[in-house]
Amino acid sequence: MEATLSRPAARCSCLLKTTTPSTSRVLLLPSNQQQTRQKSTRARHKASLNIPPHPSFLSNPSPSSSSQSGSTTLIFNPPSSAPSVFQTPFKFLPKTDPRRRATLAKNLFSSSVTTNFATQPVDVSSLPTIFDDRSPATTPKNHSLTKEDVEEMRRLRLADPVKNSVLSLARQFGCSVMFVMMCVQAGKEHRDKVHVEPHAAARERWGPKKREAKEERKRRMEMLLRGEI
Amino acid sequence: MMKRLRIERAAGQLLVARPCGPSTPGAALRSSYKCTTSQVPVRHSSSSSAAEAEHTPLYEEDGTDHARFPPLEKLPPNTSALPSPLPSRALESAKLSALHARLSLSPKIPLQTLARTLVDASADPNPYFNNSSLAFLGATIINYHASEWFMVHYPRLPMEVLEAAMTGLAGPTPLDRIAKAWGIEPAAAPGGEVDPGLLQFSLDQPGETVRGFGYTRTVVDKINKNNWQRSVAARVIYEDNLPALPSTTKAKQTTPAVAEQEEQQQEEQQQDDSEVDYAETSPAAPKFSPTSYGSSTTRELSEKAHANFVRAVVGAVFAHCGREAAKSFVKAHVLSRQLDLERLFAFKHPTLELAMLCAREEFDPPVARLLSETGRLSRTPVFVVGVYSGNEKLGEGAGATLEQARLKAAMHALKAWYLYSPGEGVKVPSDVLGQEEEEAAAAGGKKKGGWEPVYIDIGELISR
Amino acid sequence: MAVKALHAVSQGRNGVGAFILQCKKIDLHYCDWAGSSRGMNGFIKSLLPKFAAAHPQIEFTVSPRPTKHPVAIGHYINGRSKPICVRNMEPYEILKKLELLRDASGEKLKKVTKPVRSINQSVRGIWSPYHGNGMSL
Repeated sequence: MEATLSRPAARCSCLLKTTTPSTSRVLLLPSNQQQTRQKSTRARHKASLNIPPHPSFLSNPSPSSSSQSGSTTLIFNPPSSAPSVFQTPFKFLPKTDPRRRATLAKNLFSSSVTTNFATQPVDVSSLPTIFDDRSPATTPKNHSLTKEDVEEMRRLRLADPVKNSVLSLARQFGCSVMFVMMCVQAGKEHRDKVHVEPHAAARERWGPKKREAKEERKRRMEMLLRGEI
Repeated sequence: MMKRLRIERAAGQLLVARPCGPSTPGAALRSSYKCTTSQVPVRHSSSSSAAEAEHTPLYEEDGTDHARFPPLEKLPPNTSALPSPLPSRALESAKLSALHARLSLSPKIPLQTLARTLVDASADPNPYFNNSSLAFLGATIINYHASEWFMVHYPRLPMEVLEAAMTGLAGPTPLDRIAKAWGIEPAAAPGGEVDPGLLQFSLDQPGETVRGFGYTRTVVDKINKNNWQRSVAARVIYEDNLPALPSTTKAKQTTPAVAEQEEQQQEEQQQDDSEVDYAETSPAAPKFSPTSYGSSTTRELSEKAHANFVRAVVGAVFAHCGREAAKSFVKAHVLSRQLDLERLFAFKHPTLELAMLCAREEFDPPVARLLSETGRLSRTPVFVVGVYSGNEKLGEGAGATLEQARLKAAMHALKAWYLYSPGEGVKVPSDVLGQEEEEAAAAGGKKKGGWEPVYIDIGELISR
Repeated sequence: MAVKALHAVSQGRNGVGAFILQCKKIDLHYCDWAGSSRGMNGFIKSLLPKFAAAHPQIEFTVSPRPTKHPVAIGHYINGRSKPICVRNMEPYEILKKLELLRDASGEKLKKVTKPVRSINQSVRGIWSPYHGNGMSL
C-alpha cells in the first residue's frame, strides 16, 4: 500500500484529488513540473498503469470506527451496476412493510437524494426533465368547462377539423390537449386524411433500405417493450 | 445356452398341450405371478406369449424368432392382450425400483402404485389401472402450492403474469422437463408385455388422454359460441385451472383489442388443427416414436403424458404419505426450479400506465429526468433517464434515445411495483396448517405464532 | 389489459431442492472363457451384490458376451452412455471404475475453468459504466 503511494504518478494523483473537483475522471499531469509524455507513449509508462487502490481500501479509518482503533473495519464498496427491479423503491413499499419504517426517517428529513453519479447529493429539481407535458404553455388553466363549452368544442371540431385543430381548441378553451381529445374525436375521414394518407404517399417513395430500417426500428421498439433490449 | 433353450422348448411344448388351463404343469411356473386377471379384461388372442411361441410358426407377426431369441422374462399368458402390465409385475421390474430409489420416495409408496402412475389414460382407458385419478389429485396439489407461493411472495403480480408464471412453473411443459430429468423412458408402444418401469402412452388414441383438469361449466359453450371476451380469471373459474402454453390454447379466446395478433394466431391454429385432423383420421399417417422427435401433435401428446406422470407421482405421495410429504416433494422438485419473473412482462404504454399508477396511489405524477448522457452528437449516444415521483426515484433506464431511455425507466418502475415481495421468510397458508392441528391436539397449550395475515394488494392496474 | 405476459419455462437445477443421481443404469458384460474377464467374474461374484445393494437408484444388468473383453457401460439421464473396457483388471480396480461411472454426470468431459457456474442473478449486479460514483484518479 505504502509502496504504491510513493510512486510518482500515484502521488501526483493524490495531489490532484485534493485540488481538482472529485467529478473529473481524467488524469492530468502538470506539465510544467514533470517530464511530459505524449499520449502516444503514455501507455508504455508503467507507473501510469499503477493505479492506486480505491480510497475505501486505503488505511484511512472512518471517524465512526476510529474509537476502536486496530479492530477490523467494514469496507462497503459495491460495484457500479444498474439497480435491480427487485429493489422496491420506498414509495412502493406498503404501509405494513418493515423496510418502510427502517428508511422512513432518512427519507423524511432529506429533500435531496443521491444519484448514481455524484458523491454529493444532488437536488432533484436541478436535473433536467425530458418530454415534460406539464410545461406552463400546455398546462390547463381552465379546469371548469361547462357543458355548453364542451358542446361548442364538439361543434367546432366536427365542423372544420382542419381549422379547429386540437391544439387551437385547447388554446381557445384554456384546457389541455388531452381533454379536447377526450371530448371529441374528428371523423374517420379527417383522421385518414391527416394521419394515414400523407404517410402512405411517403411510404410509397421509400426505397428498400429505408423500408428495412423503418421495420427494424419498429421491431426494436417491440423488443424494448418486451424488455429484451 | 443350448441346454437352456431346449428346456424352455420342452416347457413350452408342455404348456401348449393344454393352453391356458390352470392345471397345466406350467401353472407351477406361473404361480409366482399371481395374476389379477379377474380384474383385467382378458381377450382371447393368438398372441406372442412365450409359451405358445413354439406351437405356432417360428416367426411371429412382429418378426421375432422366439426359438432363437427366447424372451428374457417369462410372462403370464395373454399378457400382450392386456392394455397395460399387470400390477404384480411391478415387483420384478428393475427399472421401477431404481426409479423409486432415485426419487427417494418413502417405502410407504408401493411399487405397484408407482407402476400405475406410469400408465397414461391413452394407454389404458380403464380408470382403475391408469393414472388419471392420481394425476388429478397431484395436479390439484401442485397448483395449490405453486399458487399460494406466488400469492404470498409476489402479491402484486397482474393476473396475466401470474398465469404465465404458474404455467412456467407448474404447467405441462415444466412438468414434462421434470419427468425427463428423472430419467423416465417412454415405451415404444403401450401393452401388457412392456416393462412396468417405462412410461406408457399411446399416440394412436390421443383422444383418450386427459385433456385438462377442472370442471367445464355449461356457460363455456355459450361464451365460445358468441365469441365473448373473457378474462384470465373467468377462464380459470369456468374451464381449466391448469393453463397451457399459448401454442395449445384454443384460438377462440379472441379479444377485439388485439385482433391482429389473434388473427395470426388463428391462422396458425387452423394449420395446427388441420395437422391434428390429418394425424388422427388418415390411417396412412406415419407413426412417430414417442420421443422428442415427431410432429407437433406427437410432441404435445408426449409432453402431456410425461406431465401427467409427474402429477400422478405427487398424487401417490399424497395418498400414501400425507400432506406434509407431498408438500415437501412439490417444494423439492417443482418450486425449487428457477423462473425469472422479470422476463414475463410485456408492456404497451409503460409511461401512461405509470402515470395512472401514481394517480391511483396518490403519488406525485412521474417526471422523467435526465441523469447523465454521453455522445449526444455521436453515432452511439447513451442517455440515462430516471423517473421521479417527487423526490423519490422510481426507476431508471439507459437507452440510445431519450424516448427509449424514458420507456425503459418507466418499465423499470412498473416492474419494481409489480414485483414487490415481502421477503423470503413469509409463511404460506399451508405452513401453519400443521401447526394449527398441533395446537388443537395440544388443547390449550401455549399459542405459538399461528397465521399472520399477509399483504394483499388492492389489485392490478386496469387501463386501456 | 395494460400488461401482457410472456411465457417462459422454469429451469431445473439438480441438487437445489432435490438431487437425482444422473447414472441410471450400468451394464456389465463378461465372458466365461476368456482370461481378460477373470477379474470381472470375480467382481460379479464377490463385490457386485454389495455395490448394487448400496445403489438402489441404479439399474444393474449382467449379461454374457462370449469371446469379448469385459465392459462396464453406464447409461445416463441425459441420454448418453459411458463405456469402460475393464479387461485384465482386478475386482477392486473394476469397483473403482464403477464408482467413476456412478459419479459421472454423463456430460462430455470438458475443462472447467470458472470456479462457479450459476443461473442465479448476481447479487451485486453486472458492472455498468453508467452507474456508480466513479473513481477519480
